[in-house]
Amino acid sequence: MSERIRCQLTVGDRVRWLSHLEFLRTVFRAVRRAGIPVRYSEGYNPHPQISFATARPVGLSSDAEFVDLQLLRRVRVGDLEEHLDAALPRGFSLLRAAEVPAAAESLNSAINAARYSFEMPRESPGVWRAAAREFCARRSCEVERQRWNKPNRIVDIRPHVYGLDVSVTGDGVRLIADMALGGENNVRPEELLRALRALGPEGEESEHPLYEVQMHRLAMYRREDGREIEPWDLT
Amino acid sequence: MQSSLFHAVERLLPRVQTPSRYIGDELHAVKKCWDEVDVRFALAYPDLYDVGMSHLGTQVLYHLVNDRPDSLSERVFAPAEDMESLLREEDIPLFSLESRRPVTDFDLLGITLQYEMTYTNVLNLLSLARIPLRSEDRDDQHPFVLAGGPCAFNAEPLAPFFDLVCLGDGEDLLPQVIETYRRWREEGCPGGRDGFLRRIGRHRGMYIPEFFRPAYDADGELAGVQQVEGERSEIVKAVSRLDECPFPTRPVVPYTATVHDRASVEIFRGCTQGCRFCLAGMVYRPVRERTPDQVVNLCRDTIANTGYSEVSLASLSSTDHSGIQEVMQRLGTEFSDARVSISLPSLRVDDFSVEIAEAVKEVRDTGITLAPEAGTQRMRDVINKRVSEDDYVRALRAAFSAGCDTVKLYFMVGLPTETDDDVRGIARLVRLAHDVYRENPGSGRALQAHLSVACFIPKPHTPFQWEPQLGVDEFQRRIELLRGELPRRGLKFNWHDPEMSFLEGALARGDRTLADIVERAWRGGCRFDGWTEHFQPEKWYEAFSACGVDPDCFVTRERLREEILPWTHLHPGLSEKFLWDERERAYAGLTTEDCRRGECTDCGVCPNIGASCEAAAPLRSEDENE
Repeated sequence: MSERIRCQLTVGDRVRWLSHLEFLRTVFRAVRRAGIPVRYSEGYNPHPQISFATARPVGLSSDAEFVDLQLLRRVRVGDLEEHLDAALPRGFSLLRAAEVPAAAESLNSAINAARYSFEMPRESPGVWRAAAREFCARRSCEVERQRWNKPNRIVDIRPHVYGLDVSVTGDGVRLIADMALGGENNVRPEELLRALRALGPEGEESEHPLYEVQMHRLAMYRREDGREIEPWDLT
Repeated sequence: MQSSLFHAVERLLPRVQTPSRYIGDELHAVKKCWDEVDVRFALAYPDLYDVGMSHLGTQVLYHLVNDRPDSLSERVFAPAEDMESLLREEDIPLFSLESRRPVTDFDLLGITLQYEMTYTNVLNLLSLARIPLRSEDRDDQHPFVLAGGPCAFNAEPLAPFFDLVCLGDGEDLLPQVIETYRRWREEGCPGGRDGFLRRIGRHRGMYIPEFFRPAYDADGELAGVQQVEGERSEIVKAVSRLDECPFPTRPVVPYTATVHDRASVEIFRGCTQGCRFCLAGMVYRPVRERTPDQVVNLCRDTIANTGYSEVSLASLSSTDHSGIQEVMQRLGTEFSDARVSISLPSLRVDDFSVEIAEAVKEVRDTGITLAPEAGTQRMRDVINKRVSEDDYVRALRAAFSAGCDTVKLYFMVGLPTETDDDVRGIARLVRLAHDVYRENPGSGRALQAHLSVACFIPKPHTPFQWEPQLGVDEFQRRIELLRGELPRRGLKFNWHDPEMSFLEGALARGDRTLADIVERAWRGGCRFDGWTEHFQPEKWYEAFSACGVDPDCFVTRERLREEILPWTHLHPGLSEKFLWDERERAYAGLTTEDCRRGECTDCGVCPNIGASCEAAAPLRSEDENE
C-alpha cells in the first residue's frame, strides 16, 4: 500500500521562464535533496513516481502547481512540507501538502479547469470591459492555435471560458479568467488575450505587446456540473 | 556605474528560446552584495550557457572567488543568436546572470579558452559588453580582460584582445590577480593600467601580451617573440596541489538540461599517459590526485547538495587514479540505495575490466565508450596509445557480458605516417566489435555501434607540434576511403568537418597575425564556429585573403626544429628536447611508458615548475597489470 501525497507549489516571477520539463527536473531534484522516500518505477530505467497536472506555459507564474508523490512509506506530512519547502530553489515554495487516497484519479485527468490573472499596466479598463462583455455575449469565438511542428488550427475557445472579470488597478487593468485546463478543451492564457484584443477597438494590433502582460495562475480545480472541487477534495 | 538591467532583460525573455538560460537564479548561484566587496569578477564562458555550465573549471573558479570575503564573481555566457539580436536591437549591453549588471561594471573579466572555435565568440562577448576589442584601446573605465584555459598556452592569435593571459591552474593564479588588483587600487592605481599589468606580470604564469612583440625576418618568418617591457622573458605556468585546492560541493545546478547534466568531481589533474597528440596531456602535467577519502566525501556532499542522480569522476583518464578501485568500491556502498550512478569519462581501453563494467551503470544504460584513436598497432605505437587489439577485445567482452549493447568508438585520421592501411584498420576494428558481440549477444538485440572520427590537428606543446596537418581534400579522401570499408548495418558514422578542422589547426598553431583575421571573420558575421549550423568557412577564407595571409603556412606546412614557434615564450614546463625526442620515437614506432609506472621520461615539467606527481598511492607497473 503506497502513500500518496499531494503538494501545492508556487512558481515565482524570476523562475516562471522555466519550461514544464525544467520544472519537473527541479522538483525531482528537490525531492531527492529533501530525502523524501519517493517510490521508483520498476524495470530497466526506474523513474521516480512523481506526477504533475497539465504543463504550465513558459512565462506563467503560479500559486497553484500540483504534484503527487508516491512514497515508499508513510511520512509525517508536516515534516515533508518542511523539508521539501526548504529544498526548493529560490523562487519556488511549497504552500501545502496533504495525503490523498492511493486510488484517487490522477491529477492530469481529474483537474480540468484553472483560474488566471492577467496584469496589464497602462491599458484602458473601459476597452477591456467592453471586450469581456462582448466575448461573454457570443456563442463562439475563434482563435488561431499555434501548434509545435504542425500547421496552426482554428479553435473555438468560447465554450471553454467559464468566467471573466475585469477590474481596475493602480496603473491599468486586471483580468481574472476561469478556463478549461488540459485535454481537448484546454485554453491557453495567451489565446484568451488575443481573442479579447480582437474584439476591442484596436483589434489585435495594440501598442502594448502581449508579452508584456504578466500572466499568473491563481488556482486549479475540477469543474463538475457547475461545481468547483479543489484538488484536495478529489477522490 | 550603471544599475541593474533586470527589467530590460526581463522584457526580452518572452521572446527567446530557452529563457531559463538567462535567469541566473539557479540553485547555489551566489549573489553577493555589490557594494560590500572590493573586487568584482565577471567569469565568462564564450559559448552558450548549456555548454559553459557543463564546464567544471567555471564552477570551480566561480565559487573560489565568491568564497573570498573581498570579492564576488558573476557568470557571463555567449547569448544565443535570438538573444544577441534583441540585445543589439534594444541597445542593451551584455549582462552578468546574477545581478544583471553590464559587464563594464566589473573590475575584471575572465574568459576561458577551452576550444579554438570559440575565438569569434570571445570578440562577440567584448563587443556586446561594449569593451574595446583591443587592449590598447581600453582605459580606466573598462575592466581588465583576462584569459585562461588550455588554449592560453598559445594565446597569440588572440593576444591583442587580452590585457592578461594566465597560464596554469586557476586556483593558484586567480587569487593572485585579485589580491594584486585590490592592492593596486587601494594605493590609488599607481601607473594606471600598465601599472597593474607590470605588477601582476612579476608573478609566475602571468603573460601580458603587450609586453611582448613578435619580430619577423625579411621573408616574413617569425624571428622571435621579444619581451619589450616587464621582467620576465618567458612565462612558465603556475600549478597548485590539487589535494589542497577547494572544490565546490555546491555547484550551481542549471534548470535547463546542459551538455553534461550531472554532478562532476575532479579526481585528479594532469595525465602522464603520454599520448603524443594530446594537448591536455602535455600542458596539465604533472599528475595531482585527490585522495580516495577526499573523492568519496566530495561525491557524497555534492550529491546531497544538488540532488543529481549521477556523479562523474572527472579527469583526463579516470581509471589511472591510483586508488580508483577503492573509490569505486566505497562509492558503490555509499550510494547503494540512493539511486546514484557513477560515470567514468575517458575510460582506457586497456584498463576496462568486468568490475568496472558492472560498477559503472552508464555502461549498461548508454553503452561503452572506447577511444583506440588509431586502427592499427603500428599507428597506435606512433601516437603512443599503448593499447593492443587484445585489450580492445577484452574491454568489449567485459562490457557485452555486463549487458551492454551499444558501443561508441573514437578514432582519428590524418595522423603522422598514416597509410591507407591504417585507415582501413579503423573499419576492421569496427567489424571486430560486431564479431565480438555476436559471440555473446547479451540482450538479444543487435549491436549499435557509433563511430566518431576526428581529423588529427597538431597542437602546440605536443611532440607533433612541428607536423604538417593534412589538407582538406586529403582528409575528405581518407574519410571516403574509410566509409567505403565500413559495415552498412548496425553502425552510425560521423566525422569532423575537415574545413572546420583546417581552421582549428590555423588557430591552434597560428601567431599574432591571425588576430586581424579573427576580427575580420567576426565582423563578417562568424559566431559559434564550432557549431556545424553556424560555421561559415567562406567568411574565414575571405578574411585570410583580405589580410594577405596564407593559412597553409600555419596548417599544412611542416615546421623545422630550428624554427621559432609562435608559442615559444609560453611554457607549460615541458622541455623542447623531450618533445622532439618523442617525435623521433614516434617515427621510429617506439612507445614511451607512463612515468608513473616506469622510468622518468625527462619531460622537464617537474624540475621546470618545481612540482612533482602526487599520487595518493604507488601505481602498479604495466607488467603487473597483465
